Amino acid sequence: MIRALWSLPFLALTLFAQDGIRPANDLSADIDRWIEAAGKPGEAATDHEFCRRVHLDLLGRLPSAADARSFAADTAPGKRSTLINRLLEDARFAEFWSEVWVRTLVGFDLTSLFRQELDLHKLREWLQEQFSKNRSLDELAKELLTAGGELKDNGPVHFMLFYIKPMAREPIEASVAVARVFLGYRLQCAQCHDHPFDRWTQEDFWGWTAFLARTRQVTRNTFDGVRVTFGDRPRGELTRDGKEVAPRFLDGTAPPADAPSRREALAKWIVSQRQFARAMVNRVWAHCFGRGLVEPVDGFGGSNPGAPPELLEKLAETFKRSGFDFKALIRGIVRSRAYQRSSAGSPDGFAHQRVRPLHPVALFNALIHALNAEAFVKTEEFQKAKYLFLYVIQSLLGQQGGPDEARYQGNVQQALVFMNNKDFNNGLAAPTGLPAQIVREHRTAERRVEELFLALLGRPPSEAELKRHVEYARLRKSELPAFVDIAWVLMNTNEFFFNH
Amino acid sequence: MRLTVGTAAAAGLASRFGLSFAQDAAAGAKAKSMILLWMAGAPSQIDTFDPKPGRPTGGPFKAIETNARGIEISEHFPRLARQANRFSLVRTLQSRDPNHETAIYMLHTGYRREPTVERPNLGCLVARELAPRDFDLPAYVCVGNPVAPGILGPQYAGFRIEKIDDPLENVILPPGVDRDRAKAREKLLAAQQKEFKRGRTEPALDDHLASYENALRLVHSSKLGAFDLSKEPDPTRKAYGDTPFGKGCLMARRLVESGVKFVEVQLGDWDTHENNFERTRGLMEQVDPAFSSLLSDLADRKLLEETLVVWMGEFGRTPQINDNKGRDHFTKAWSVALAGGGIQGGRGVGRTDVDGLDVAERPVSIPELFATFTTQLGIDGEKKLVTPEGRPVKILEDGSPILELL
Repeated sequence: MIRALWSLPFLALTLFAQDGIRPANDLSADIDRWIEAAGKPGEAATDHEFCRRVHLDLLGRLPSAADARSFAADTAPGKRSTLINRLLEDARFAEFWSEVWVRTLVGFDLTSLFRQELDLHKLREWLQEQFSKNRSLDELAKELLTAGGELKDNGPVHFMLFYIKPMAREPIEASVAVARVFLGYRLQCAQCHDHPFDRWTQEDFWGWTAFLARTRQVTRNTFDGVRVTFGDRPRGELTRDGKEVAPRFLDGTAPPADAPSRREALAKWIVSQRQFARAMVNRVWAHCFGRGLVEPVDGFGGSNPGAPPELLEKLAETFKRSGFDFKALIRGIVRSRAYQRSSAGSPDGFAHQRVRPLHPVALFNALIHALNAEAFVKTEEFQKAKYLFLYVIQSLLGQQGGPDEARYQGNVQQALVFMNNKDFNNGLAAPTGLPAQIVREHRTAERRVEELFLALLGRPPSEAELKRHVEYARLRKSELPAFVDIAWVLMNTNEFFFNH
Repeated sequence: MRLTVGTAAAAGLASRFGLSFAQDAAAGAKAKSMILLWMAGAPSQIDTFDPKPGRPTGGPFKAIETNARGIEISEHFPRLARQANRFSLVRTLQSRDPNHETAIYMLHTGYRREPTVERPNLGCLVARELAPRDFDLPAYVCVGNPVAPGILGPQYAGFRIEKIDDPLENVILPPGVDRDRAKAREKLLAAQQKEFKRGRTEPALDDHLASYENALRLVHSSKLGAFDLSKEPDPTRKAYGDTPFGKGCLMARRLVESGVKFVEVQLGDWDTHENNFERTRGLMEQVDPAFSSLLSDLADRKLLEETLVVWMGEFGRTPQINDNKGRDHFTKAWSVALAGGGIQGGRGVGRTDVDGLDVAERPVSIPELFATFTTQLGIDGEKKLVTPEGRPVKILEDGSPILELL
């Protein structure tokens, strides 16, 4: 009898809670309270939907058919949280997020790959190391902002190096980038005029840019060859209209006189600002929901000032208190009910999750997965040309916007490549391809269709779908080409192409 | 290329962009299509169309007379010199942006890049305004890398041809897939797409479906022969030149004949900070046969009157020659060539000074250039487009056409 009583609270919990529905930390609870206060939100995503979505958002990958099946079949309580924790510790988490961050930091322009001293691979590798150690975001930011010295074996320096171009007279691109990435501010308009609706004046702009007035790439010819370093010269000022510009933070204050260097003072100030926490939270939110709490993510305090949503304030506070713990932030977000909702409904007010384009890296990984080309990806040939491939993918997505743009700009080119490209089709039809593998491993048309759906869409087929596809296969004697066609179909659906 | 989605989706998309599908041509419109010969990297005006022989800035190239009175061009354009009655020059274009990336945008949209509004690329604009609704082929084809469509959205994006020798690379069916098999699996795909859309309102899903519908129209089009240069007689192909640019120009003519509204053919790299003369001459030797053949070919087929042809880059190059025998970026006075579409040939608008350092007479602005394009194409500059944020912007904020050309 007493034992039965003990189980009552747990029973109540399971009746009311669905896995992941009961938030386990502040972040998730705050998110759900705020969103659910605004109105009645939609129903939860299915296990299959959740599994696919969280794999895409955390690892930039589709779940394998086996993972998708076993997750749905699992009856253990708290399985969604367990999955989240497992993915956060997966090596590919750090790898994917390093790619995401490179893009946030420097955008994705192919020509930058050919600039002599720039090594975005190094930057990405370094970021991956930081994410594996769950380096706190304020430390990460500070290191990116103050990196310098020899370029050899130096990862973080390539962020600043990207923007401080040798030919540029004034470090405008860099100062704009710093404000965009770390504070979510769009300063560039203020360069030329005091916009009536914008917050920043020209004076603000130039005072801010003056922090980087001494930052330079230095190329020296030495006995050992050309030596390139990056750092701050001891002297040098920005001048406007003949007058020197003193560095000023965006709140108008001056850096402390005893600051070891301007960039150190800048970095310290940035991470001490509430706006830093807000901007970081907002970016991660936008990644997980397809839209920031403030949109666009670099549009804070622009011509639509308004107060940031209360939720963002709360999350920023929590994030700061956690010591800018990146993984904890992500965990908090994806454990919320809000994150785990179905996307079949209006996403206004975050009542439903959003249908959103895959990150280019995720789309690339999805293609590799569909073409069973993991082995190729590990080759040195591919690794060398990796960014070229990614650039092609990005062009396919029609993404020619800035580093923060995740707007889908679908185009005919993408459809044509997915449908008719020789390499894609050869990959699908190859003996090493996914359909061939499935045909080898499964005997019946039904099982083969199920496996293809699980592998490519992360879910089993509905009854109607199963019937339709089995019929298609039977008309073609259930031989390999039929299943190649079915794989082709699934790869070309909306469902494959988007995160939802 | 027009959308072929159902009317509901089309209306939805139309209202999203605040556009109507009405196509009233403005009075005086002559051109039904446009060919843009895009000289990437910025060609040197002094070495091409505005020679300064004997001057310290003139460089080694001589000037030659043309069959247009008063117009002299570089000696490395001998065939163009015999077509000068068909094209006209604007020699005093002024822009203020010497930066490749932003200038490319400006010379494709008519505007400086603004953080708040992305203007439509001219090719996309022409595609949207001029292309008939049910048309298989892309309305805007780009031999090279097209500039982004901007606020007009993805359905008007340029169809990119990367390899001139294999223009239909991903249009033709892959090996092992014949027409029947293609149609069967396309049908299966169509059936599969229906369920997913239910309850999901994201406009990107419609864009994605529209891309596929348009792609399939192209794949199964009966007009794909337009891309096939082997259908042209040998002498014609030789006349244009056996170069990617020559082939691109010939393809442009064929595409325009088949109803494509805007073809951009790119040639680069004109960015000659070093070794300007050798490199520029090499490029001119590709331009001369191709551009001149295009003009005479269009004229022979009575198409020149209705095809606007424009030759330009993103800015000009300095009259001063640098230490590396090169010329650097120059925006004070540079040249573009225009022909067809109601442009009167044989004219020279504007004069630069004796060394080409500045405009001597009649400066021309980018808005005027673009107003000339839109007027000749019958596009109403006052018409408004709506940005994704809901802000209405006019196609042409200001600028009036260069009357000396008309």
